[in-house]
Parts: sequence; structure tokens; C-alpha cells
Amino acid sequence: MNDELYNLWMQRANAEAPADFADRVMDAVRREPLPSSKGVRILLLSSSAVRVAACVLACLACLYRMAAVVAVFFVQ
Amino acid sequence: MNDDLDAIQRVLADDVESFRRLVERYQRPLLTLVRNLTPPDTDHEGVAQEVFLAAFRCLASFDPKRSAFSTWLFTIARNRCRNELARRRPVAGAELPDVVDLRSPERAASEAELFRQLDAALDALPFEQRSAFVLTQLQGLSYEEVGRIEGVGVGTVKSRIARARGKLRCLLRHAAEPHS
Repeated sequence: MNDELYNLWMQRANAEAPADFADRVMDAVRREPLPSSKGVRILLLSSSAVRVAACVLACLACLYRMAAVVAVFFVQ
Repeated sequence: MNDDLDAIQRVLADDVESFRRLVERYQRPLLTLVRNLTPPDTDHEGVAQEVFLAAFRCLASFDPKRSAFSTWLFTIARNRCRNELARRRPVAGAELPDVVDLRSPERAASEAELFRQLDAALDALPFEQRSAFVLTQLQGLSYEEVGRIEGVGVGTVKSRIARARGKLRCLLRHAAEPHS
């Protein structure tokens, strides 16, 4: 009895998509820019090697800048 | 699935219409997921449409070596539903509803009422338990897939499902017992 009710409820929870749902999604999709136009930027950002390289470059630039500031007190 | 990858490659080669294949394949499971993870008065179709649009926008970042397209899509949907829930329901931990006696003469009405209460009980579950329950029991995903979507281990998924199922079954058991 309980299992029967439980299974009935589970079946009821499965949703049907309206007939025009895919059309509406595609209408919205056509208004979007092409995903390939953003592909290179996204691929670069999603690559861990590129992210690590960017972090290392940022750290080096930061260290260089700090060294330049500290050097002001020692040059003379 | 190879057909998914073929469609994705076509979309990335600027054949936008190939995205329809993905929409038609996943619209039903996605709507089921959204409908069961958000409150009843949510614009479920609007949320599902936003999920498809988000997937379209980020399609170039999908990595087939890391997960199946369905897992990736359901991850976007789950996160979108969680955001929707957080935005609409700031106070978590709602109480489970009172039970109903199914042995009354109006059994059909009682069953409808029980279903309503099970819906409410599902709605009252913590989001993590509810999400794990819906993904496995309604979407038929494996524990491993749900673990990837939720970002947790298989053991955690199992325990969340067991807790969710226990609460729902408790409600059913109470409903079937006569009131003393």
C-alpha cells in the first residue's frame, strides 16, 4: 500500500514539457551571441596552465613593484 | 553520449539549430528537476529556459573528459534552483506537514491530500537532501553522477538520500496507520 502510493507519487512528479517549449528556448537562443565567438576566451580561462601562468606573472609584477618601492630607500 | 557531443560540436561550429537536439532530449528531465527543486509557484519553464540559455552561453567551456553533458547541464540546473530557492525562501528548515488518515471514506481525496503533503515534505527537506533525492529517484542518476553534480563523495550522497527517503517514508507510514 505504502510502496504503491509512493510509486504513484514518484510518477506524478515527472514533468511533461509543453509542446512549444523547445521552440521558445530556440527563439531565445537565436538572440544570443554565438558561443564560438567566446570560445577562445573561455578556453583560455578554463585551462589551469593558463591560470597558473597568469598568477605567476601577477606575483612577479607585484614583487617587482614592491622591490622598486623599497629600492627608493637604498639606492642613495 | 556521442550524439550530444556531435550536437555540441555543431553548435560550436556556428550551427545554432543543432542546439535544438539537446533541448528536445533534455527538456523533460530538466523540467522534472526544476519542478521538484523549486517551490510550486515558481516559473519552472522560465527557470528551465534560463538553464538552457546558460548552457548555450558556456558551451565552449564544457569538457567531455570531465563529465557527461547531462551531468554538466544538471549541475547548472541544480545551482540555478538553489539560487532561486535562496532568493525566495530566506528562512530554511520548514516543518514537515501533519499526517492524514487514508482510511477515511474519502480515500481518493485523502490520497490527493497525501500527495500534496508529500510535495510539501519534499519542499521542506534541506536543499542538499532534496537535490540528491530528486536526482537519483526521479532522474535515475547514479550516486557517482550525483556526487559530481553536488561536489561531494558517494557516501555523502547515500546518506543524504537515506535521510530524505526516511522522512518521506515516515510521513507515508504515519498516513497509513489509524489514528489512536
